[in-house]
Amino acid sequence: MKINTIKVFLLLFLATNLTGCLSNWVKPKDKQMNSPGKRFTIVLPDGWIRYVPDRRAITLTKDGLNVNKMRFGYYSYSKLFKPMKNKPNAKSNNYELSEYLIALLGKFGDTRFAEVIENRPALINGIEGYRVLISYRDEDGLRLYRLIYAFGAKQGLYYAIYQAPLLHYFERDLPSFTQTINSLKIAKE
Amino acid sequence: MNQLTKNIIISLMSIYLLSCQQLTPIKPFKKKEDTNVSNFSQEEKNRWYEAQLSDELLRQLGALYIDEQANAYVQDIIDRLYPEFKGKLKIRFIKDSRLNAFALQNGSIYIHIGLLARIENEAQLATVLGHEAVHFINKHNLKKHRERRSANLVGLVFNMAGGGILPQILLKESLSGYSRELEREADKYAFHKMQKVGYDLSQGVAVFQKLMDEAKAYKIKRPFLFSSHPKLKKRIESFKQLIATHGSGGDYVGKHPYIEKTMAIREAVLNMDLTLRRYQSVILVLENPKNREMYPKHATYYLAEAYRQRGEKGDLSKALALYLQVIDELPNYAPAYKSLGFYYYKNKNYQLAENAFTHYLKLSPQGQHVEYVQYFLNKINNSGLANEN
Repeated sequence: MKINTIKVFLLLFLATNLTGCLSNWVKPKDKQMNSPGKRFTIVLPDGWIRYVPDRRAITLTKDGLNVNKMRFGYYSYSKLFKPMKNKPNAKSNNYELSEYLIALLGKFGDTRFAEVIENRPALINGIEGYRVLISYRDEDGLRLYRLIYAFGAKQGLYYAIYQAPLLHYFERDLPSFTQTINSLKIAKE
Repeated sequence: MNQLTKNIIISLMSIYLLSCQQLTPIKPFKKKEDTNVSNFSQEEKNRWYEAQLSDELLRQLGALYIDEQANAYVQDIIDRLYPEFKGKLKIRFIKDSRLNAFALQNGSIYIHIGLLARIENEAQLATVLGHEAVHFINKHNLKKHRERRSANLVGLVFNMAGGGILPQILLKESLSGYSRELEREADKYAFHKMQKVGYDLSQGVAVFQKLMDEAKAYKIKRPFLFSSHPKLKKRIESFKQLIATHGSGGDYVGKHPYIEKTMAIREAVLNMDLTLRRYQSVILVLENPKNREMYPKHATYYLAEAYRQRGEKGDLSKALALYLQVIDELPNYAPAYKSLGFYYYKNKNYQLAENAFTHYLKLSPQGQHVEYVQYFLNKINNSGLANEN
């Protein structure tokens, strides 16, 4: 009896793994995806899959998160800029918001020594926002580009990030990111 | 013989057997030839390779600040302090606005540009460099590593013998940087080197005093550079004692060459602080008249920006006054017009904003913020906002 129970569990475990039920990666059938909290929707670009464990945002990749990734999300000002004494608010314009974002990138982690290549106003599917492009190297010396689009709302920031190595990948997949940005629709404030 | 005594004897024998190689005394380098890796013990080679990896990692990450002229100047200082190690002690700058410097066990000495920006003259820099070099020459890193290993061993053994709290204390002490003894040793050795070159040794006291005052002003409880050092006050006393015993050395301070060679670095640090919104640091530095003379005239603009970022009561008015002051003193300084335009725009003075933005675009058509300026200018023009003023 005991051995049969173990066999059943093993079979179930193998079955779920093989069918991908426990997989971290999902290619949604419906290309239109809702963000966590249903704040906005985007349309999944061809060839990209979603990283399910990220429950705070929509994270996508084509060739693996270490190679290329996109991330779409929303953060309240108080949460995102928690390390800072002064925080942006609903009255902050896009230039000021970009300053806050650049400061945050420069304070922590792998972007501490990043170089700001570009910081300018931008439209995100008709919504006025800004775009920041930074360049930095990882521990192996690989140069990465991170492109961020963002715009402010009353209590927080909507953002879209695209990161890939400068060599080969960044330019190759940039059109997919641009296409996805242009599909972004706000559902609620 | 009871069980506890037996355990202690076994423990002590284990320490002895496991740490046999640590009985080899650590001899400092006397000359450049001593620093050839082929002459090192395996232990020394391990530390050297770690240092090489650190060098490579910092370079890969893009952490290095490149200013060849300043680098050559600082390199010359360390080479004059330690001519016997010329070519072995290598100076590098790190892109960080905090106050720190450290040496690796391959002779690399790293200085944060934040520290370079705060130091006032060559003699003060020589104090810091001289001190850091001793950590390499006297192999303090190796000593620290042995202490750490011993603490781990002692911890292991004491736990076996039923020790308790002592291993934790030993571990903490060994992990918190160089010991006070080693730091005092570094100060003493550096003191004599500075004396030989002819530096004014009272500047050694001055640099610690300045850094202590700044740490207090920034409310830094344990200044980064000194987080594992004896408290700054004790270091000041220790240096004063050395002066009392051995004299204050020569009279060379080197203020003007230092200010000239590091001017670009000071401005880079202001930029970095504002980018990271460390506005308090900018205000503290530039509000001090003694510091102000070490900065170019347009540094007033950075002070204005710091007030704007801080945004406390009265700050925005201060910022406005300073923007206007910069424009008055330097009519072609474009960034002041940009910021003035943003100020007026935010305060709905659209006509004045338009004037300031237009001026910026004339002076700096390819400037860093052209797109933002153009964007706000378009908003003013397209909405007819300027006509409402």
